[in-house]
Amino acid sequence: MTSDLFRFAAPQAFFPLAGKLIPWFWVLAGVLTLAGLYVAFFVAPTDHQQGEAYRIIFIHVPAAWMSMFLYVVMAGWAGLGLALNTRLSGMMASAIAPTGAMFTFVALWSGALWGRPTWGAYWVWDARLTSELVLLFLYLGFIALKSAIPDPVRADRAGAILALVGVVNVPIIYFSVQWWNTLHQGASVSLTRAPSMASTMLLGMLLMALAAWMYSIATALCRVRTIILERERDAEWVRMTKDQMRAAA
Amino acid sequence: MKPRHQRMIAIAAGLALIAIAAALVLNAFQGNVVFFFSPSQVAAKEAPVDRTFRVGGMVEKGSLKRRADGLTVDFVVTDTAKSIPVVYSGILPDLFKEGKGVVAQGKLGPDGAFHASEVLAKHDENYMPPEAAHALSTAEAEKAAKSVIAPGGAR
Amino acid sequence: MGAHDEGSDAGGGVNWGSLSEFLDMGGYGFYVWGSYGVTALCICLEIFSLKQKKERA
Repeated sequence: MTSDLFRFAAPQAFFPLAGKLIPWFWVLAGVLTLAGLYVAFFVAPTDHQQGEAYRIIFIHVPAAWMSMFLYVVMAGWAGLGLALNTRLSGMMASAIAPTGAMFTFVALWSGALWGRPTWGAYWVWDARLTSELVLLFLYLGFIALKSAIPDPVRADRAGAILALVGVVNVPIIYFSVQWWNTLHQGASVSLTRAPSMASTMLLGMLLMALAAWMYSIATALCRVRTIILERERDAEWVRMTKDQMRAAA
Repeated sequence: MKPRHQRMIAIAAGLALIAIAAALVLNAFQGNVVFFFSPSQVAAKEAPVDRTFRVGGMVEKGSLKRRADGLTVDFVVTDTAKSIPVVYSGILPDLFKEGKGVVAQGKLGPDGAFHASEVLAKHDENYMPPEAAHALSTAEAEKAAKSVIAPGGAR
Repeated sequence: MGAHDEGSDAGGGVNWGSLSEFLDMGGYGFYVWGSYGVTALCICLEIFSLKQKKERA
């Protein structure tokens, strides 16, 4: 009985909570982006090696961080759903995937435009770049697989297995620059040592990374709300909520 | 045991198996994942001789020479232990500099030189304003000068 | 740096003397703005599709 209550009450309780939180995350994302862009272009100095081309770092690195982090969070939700049979978990995983794919694409795109003027090539098949491309395919595969299975329970289960298998790729991306000879340079910022960046450059990057976090939370919450409405459309509370929303609009 | 716990154990076991499989596969492909070989590896005959491969290292200071045709350049790639001469005709990337990282793709010629068809610059992960870089290199030069005058002197 | 600060053009500050200098990005304008532009486009597309889905739900 309690587990039934747990299963069915969760999306219903979560829906209004998410609705209240979303505007705050949009505001935070906007403010942090503006602050980050200001530091990126008007405070951070030029780089001694790369000149102004290095300013791509302020979107490339936050996007790359988010692409990996969101994948782990997505797989975590998917795994939780597989283990506990909670319905909200699968919806959360579905809600995160498009944003994760978007950041992966941005990381690859900005990386290509950064690689051309600095390395001399838009693309090389080194371990870092290749594993990040694999990450994009994992995201797209996850989205395609879920949309191909009409039954949401089975779709969640199949998606969860794909997401969990793909988690192996994340440490490969992160450590590729240490494990193998790659054209891609090592990490400038890591937990184990002081960052090898000027402090204002680092500040700009961290502000942009925080903005990306807030943006991801806002988009994921927005998306999970529409998924809840879609999947629970036969539930009484969804019908009532929809009527209320229509009345408000 | 509850079915929920059984499922969790099954998922954990599955994940562990996948991780082990991935580690084995990566280990098997170790040689192919390597983007470039160092001059020491080339000297130790670890690099493929008759096939195209990449050499990576530092451009030795003072080794860059431009030939009379204005397009062909000679330089030496070193990893401080071993070095290898490289011949290349084409446009060098902006960040190509003596004393900086480079990755060249090509073949080892019969003359012992590496004939490159593509040259990429490999920059490091340090970002700083030019003034800071200048101060750093000046300090290093001073330190080097001091150690020449008084080797192992007071710190 | 004082001379730079007096510049009346937009995009002044420490780094840029004028707007055209800002847009040129030291010759890397295509790469820098290509990255930022496509990122902005991706974000706009995502927000737009979210809005559409919300209205359809």
